[in-house]
Amino acid sequence: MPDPLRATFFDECEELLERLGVALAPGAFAVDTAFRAVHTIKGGAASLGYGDLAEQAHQFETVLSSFRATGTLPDEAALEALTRDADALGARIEGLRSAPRATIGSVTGSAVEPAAIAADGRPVLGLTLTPGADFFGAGFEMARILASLSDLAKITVICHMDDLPALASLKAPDCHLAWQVTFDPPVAEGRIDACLEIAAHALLIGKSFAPSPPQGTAPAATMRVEIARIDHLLNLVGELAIGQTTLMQQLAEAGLPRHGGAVQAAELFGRIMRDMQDAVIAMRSQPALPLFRRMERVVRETAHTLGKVCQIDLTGETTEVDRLMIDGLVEPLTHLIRNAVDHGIEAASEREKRGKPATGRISLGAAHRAGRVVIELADDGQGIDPGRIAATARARGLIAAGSTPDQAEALALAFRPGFSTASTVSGTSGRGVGLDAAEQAIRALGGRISVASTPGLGTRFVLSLPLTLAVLDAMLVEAGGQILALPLASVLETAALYQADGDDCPSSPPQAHLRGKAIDLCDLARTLGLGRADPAARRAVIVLIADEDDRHAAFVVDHVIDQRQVVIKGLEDHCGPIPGIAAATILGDGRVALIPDPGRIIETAAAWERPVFRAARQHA
Amino acid sequence: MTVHILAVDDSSTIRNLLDITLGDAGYAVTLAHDGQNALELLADLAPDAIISDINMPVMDGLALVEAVRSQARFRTTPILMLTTETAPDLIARARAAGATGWIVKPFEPEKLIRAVQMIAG
Repeated sequence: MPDPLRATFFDECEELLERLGVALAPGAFAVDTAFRAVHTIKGGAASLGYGDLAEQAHQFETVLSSFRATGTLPDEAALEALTRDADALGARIEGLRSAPRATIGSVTGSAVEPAAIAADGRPVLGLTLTPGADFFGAGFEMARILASLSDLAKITVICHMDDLPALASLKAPDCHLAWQVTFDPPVAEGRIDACLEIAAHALLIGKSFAPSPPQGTAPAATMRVEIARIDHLLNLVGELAIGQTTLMQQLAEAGLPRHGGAVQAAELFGRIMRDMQDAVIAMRSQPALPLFRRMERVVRETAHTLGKVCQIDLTGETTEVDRLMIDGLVEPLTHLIRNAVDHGIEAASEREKRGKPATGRISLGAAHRAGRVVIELADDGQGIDPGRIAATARARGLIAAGSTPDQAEALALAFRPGFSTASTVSGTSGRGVGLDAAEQAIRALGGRISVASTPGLGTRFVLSLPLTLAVLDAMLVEAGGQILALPLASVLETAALYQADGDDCPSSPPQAHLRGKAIDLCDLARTLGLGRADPAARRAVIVLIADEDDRHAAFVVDHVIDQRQVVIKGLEDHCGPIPGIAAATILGDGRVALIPDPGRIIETAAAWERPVFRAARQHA
Repeated sequence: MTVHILAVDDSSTIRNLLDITLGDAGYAVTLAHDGQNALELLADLAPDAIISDINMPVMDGLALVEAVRSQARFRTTPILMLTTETAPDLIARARAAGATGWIVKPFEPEKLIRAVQMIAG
């Protein structure tokens, strides 16, 4: 520590102690003067690393502030105690002044932000910086911020001017520009946060992260192919798969030996064909990045329009998603994100009142999980208030006047058609559509949406989508005389069903006991309206199913045929949406098999759990 | 081109510390001991940035920010608040008054320099 600094501090302390003594003199008690003197000593001590002295001053300051707050005068005893405190403070200062230099702490204060010391965090590839409404008004300049960022790595900057209005409607203090910064090489998140910390409240900061293991240096060579050609190729491969299955069946029926040359060759043909199918599907897949970039823009624009401050974090943007899925996700995701910024994220002042960082955070991530693409969208806003939802639902006559749904039931209500709780209609969150529209769009993609929310802390939407809209690993089962292709990813196990003796008591729904656990049974044929299973063929099998929310159900089917990869053929173009059915496929012999949507069927079965049905359930 | 900073604090220790920290980093520093003093100095100064304490006698930091922002030539001059205060409502008030950023005392010299670099160059 430079000596002049030390000297100034002790000189100042001397002066302040003198002022403190006068302020505490009997009959001349001046609490403001005393408080300020002690406060200044505290500030100086902390800044020079005299932690103990700062702490002692802080305690003294606390005592003084109670007199200051109440405006009471200390009685004789209290004044004596205050004088003793002042003397003790003076004694410690004197002790420090005469202490040998070596015992003095470092200049560096204790205010080092944990973020600056902690692990530097994930590597950030790029940033999108969108100035908030008060950016220039607060004295910031983008050039300086970019200059500071350029100290971290080589940066490439693109300025987006899409939002620049016509000159006539340009307002001087508003910034209509956004900057996209790309780092080369990527920079640890912690270093960027430390660099931008001072400006974070005036900027919407979007980050994109580098893939964890840095990818190869040279980008692979590419060529553009019309999408229709790839789809045509995929269709042909699908037909080929059907042909191969037919061939295998013919060979078996011809009685050729299973290990003979012809069957072996046909099997090899099948393996290569499946690899080919995977390769074509991979061609149709795209990383989620362009979709996510688009959503980043939605956050930016929405936040800008609403005058809110928030940043978006992206993860898993390299996750490959079917191209058709990406197209279909734009609208529902845009809707959900606008909702999150509009109704989720609170205004900065409100957030600070609640002890949250002023900058709202939205995170968007994609991952492959259980053979599906899972997209998560979370915000740290105010969450969904079950009370408000219930009130609106009652007002709209969606639920009975006296009923009070719990959190889960309230969230389910929010997905009901035409439901919207926005207290004022805003142009931001879409054209008057509610969550039900987003859900419908996700369903059309063979996906599902679920939501979890903690009031005050935020909301998380999970979108679960099939990996591809083209092929499916399926378990073929027979039920009610029909062949059904159950998505293999949902199948946990299969078991034979034995009817317990005398168990005619009609529990509703009927249950099976599996290793001591009771599981609701769902007669697949009846649920899908295929007619009852042939009672003569009561060799019933149950297939234990779990959806990606880990809800379980047991489907009763007549028997299991086998497992195979099937080519998905959409039904919606021809038949419109069919409850419980996701799509269809064509089998080797040319027959059509329906592909049920287990999650949807489980949901229907779970309707028994819903309040409307609760009374009926209790009778059963 | 030397970047010029006006530093305002009622504590001579902090003033001294700011003088040394900023001076060592190559900034030209002018010191003021309260808001009133700062305004007087600003009559003849055009600093690239202002760093100010909040809790000061005579004229506090918030009043200083308001007074500075009300002058057209300082409308976009960056103003950093350097204070022991962390109350959100106070931060919000400072921001509403036009403060650029907030640094909590005791400050880490490197962090202060980084912030000053970002706002003033």
